[in-house]
Amino acid sequence: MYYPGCSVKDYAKSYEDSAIAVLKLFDVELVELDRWNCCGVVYEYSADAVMQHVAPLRDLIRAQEFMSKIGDNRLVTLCSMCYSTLKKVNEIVTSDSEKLNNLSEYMDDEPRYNCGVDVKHVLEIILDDSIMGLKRIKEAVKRDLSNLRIASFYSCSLLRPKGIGIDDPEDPHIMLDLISSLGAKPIKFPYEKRCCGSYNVVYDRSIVERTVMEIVKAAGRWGADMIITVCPLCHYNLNIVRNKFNIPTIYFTELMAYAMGLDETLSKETLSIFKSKIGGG
Amino acid sequence: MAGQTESKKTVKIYIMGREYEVPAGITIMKAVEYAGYQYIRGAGCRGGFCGACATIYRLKGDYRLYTALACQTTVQDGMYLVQIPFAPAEKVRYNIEELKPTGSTVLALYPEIARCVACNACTKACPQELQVMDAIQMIKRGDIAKAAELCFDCISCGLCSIRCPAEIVHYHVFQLVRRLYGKYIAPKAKHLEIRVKEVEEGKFDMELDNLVKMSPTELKELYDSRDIESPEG
Amino acid sequence: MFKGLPQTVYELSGKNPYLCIQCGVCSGSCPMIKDMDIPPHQVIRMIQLDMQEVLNCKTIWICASCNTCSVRCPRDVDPARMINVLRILVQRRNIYPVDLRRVKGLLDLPQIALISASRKLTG
Repeated sequence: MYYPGCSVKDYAKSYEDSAIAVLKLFDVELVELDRWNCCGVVYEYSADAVMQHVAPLRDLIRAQEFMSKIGDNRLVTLCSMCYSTLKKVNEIVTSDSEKLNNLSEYMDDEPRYNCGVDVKHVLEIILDDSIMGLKRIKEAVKRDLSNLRIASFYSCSLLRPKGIGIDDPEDPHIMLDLISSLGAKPIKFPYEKRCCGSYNVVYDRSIVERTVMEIVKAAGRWGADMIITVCPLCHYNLNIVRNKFNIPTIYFTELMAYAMGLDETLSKETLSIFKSKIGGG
Repeated sequence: MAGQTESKKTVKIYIMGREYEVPAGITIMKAVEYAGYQYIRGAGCRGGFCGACATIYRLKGDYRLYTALACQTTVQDGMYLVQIPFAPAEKVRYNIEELKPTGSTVLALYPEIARCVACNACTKACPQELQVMDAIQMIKRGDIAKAAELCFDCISCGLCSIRCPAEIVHYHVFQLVRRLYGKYIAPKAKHLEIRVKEVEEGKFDMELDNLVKMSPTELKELYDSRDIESPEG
Repeated sequence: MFKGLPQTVYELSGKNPYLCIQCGVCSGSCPMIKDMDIPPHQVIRMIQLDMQEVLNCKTIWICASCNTCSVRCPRDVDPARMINVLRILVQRRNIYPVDLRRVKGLLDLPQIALISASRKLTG
């Protein structure tokens, strides 16, 4: 099952297009939920917060209804913030039956949630050897990217908090492994797991501008040609200063699609980024 | 006769806290008038289309707050009700010619849409039984065509807007969405374009001028002698 | 168990503010600290001391909930979670730092930015 999320359907359409094309190459099909709503992007910590959990729980219920139709309980997201929110709320309602009762009582227009949905980030699918795995990814590469130096930017929601993150929050490596498998040169830089400033771009844009300046500048210092990320908000924030350092940030699935020669799924803009970085095609 | 006893039955309702006994089976709107009130606002077409007679009520022994159109809903025994003559909201000013039919356009004009928590109170409140929350969700993900389709039957009664914890003014948002759809997305009707061009080129000017010059007697004559399609076709 | 703000924060966050030993790892790790008026470890200290003024600080709105402090906290106090609770306490008094209609450049912002900011900054 596939939960796209709002940004992936609009601002980050290139993320979805490239991800679907890459997965298709490995016979993995993302079946979009027939009905879903915005998950709220962030989850609420406060123990008495109920309202903020309604949206993600409603999505889990949609997935519960849908999973019997396609016979699979895995709910895959691309956006790391959607992943984090759905995963966390799934964990909360699964471990706290009182909370689930309260929510169910309020959501009397929905069937009760049975806690049977398994929320996954698409990277978990991609790195799973029984589904895709790095070995098969390596074999599917059609382009020589050996001159391309790529920094990975993990996004907070993919690494933290503990139990939700899918990699070591202090020393993550999955994106670097992926870059290596695609034949490009992975650049590990100190700010790879730093926060981009997130929603502060709405509160005070200058805070985010200063933050991403440090991050992208550091990536340049460590020799990166470009940055890959998993989060549409990181993508937006980091690209605020792309021209200043000539270091664009793209979605990791766009890099995969390019490496595998799936050019037709990539936007002209993305293709021109690659062209300018490695020349030719 | 069973029918007669039925029609004699009355129910007790409470209008703004005061008890009234009104005939069973009549609409809320008629009951309010039966009780002696006169509508100055909050009533319009009386046919369920204009959205002027938004009503909220509770029933005895029930915590729920119900919503309805007064002209379309029959009174029930133990109904506590009040009519909402207007859902206060500002309509943002925009020039439709300068807009793009995207979700971002709507979010930029009505950013409170981003505050939607999918509580579904709007959908539950809608007397037109629209999927109001889903329509808002479509805007969030940039699908203007689907949003316009979902809110096509909105009559702007404002009941969703007074229930919304995110303080969204759905009826203004939906009007914008339908306008964007109509202007930029819906397939253009060719015959309409041709006719508009004809009007602009003055094809009907003379005919109209003649009508304006006619005396009332001449107009009546013309009206009485008009072509009428017979019902048989 | 406790009184005042420490008790409220304990109830809502599920974390004990008195476990904090003021080591400062949270403040040392915080990517947003330059824009904060009070560093995170001092926010926790103010909770311990039941200082209601902490609810007026800018820090609680600047925190981007990146959770870096939370994964590093040696006492599992989870500062990001506590700051979030403070934020909610203020919002429940009908005080919000952001008025969405006044935000500049709305048309350019992706949904993900607007929605997350709505949740965290407009109550």
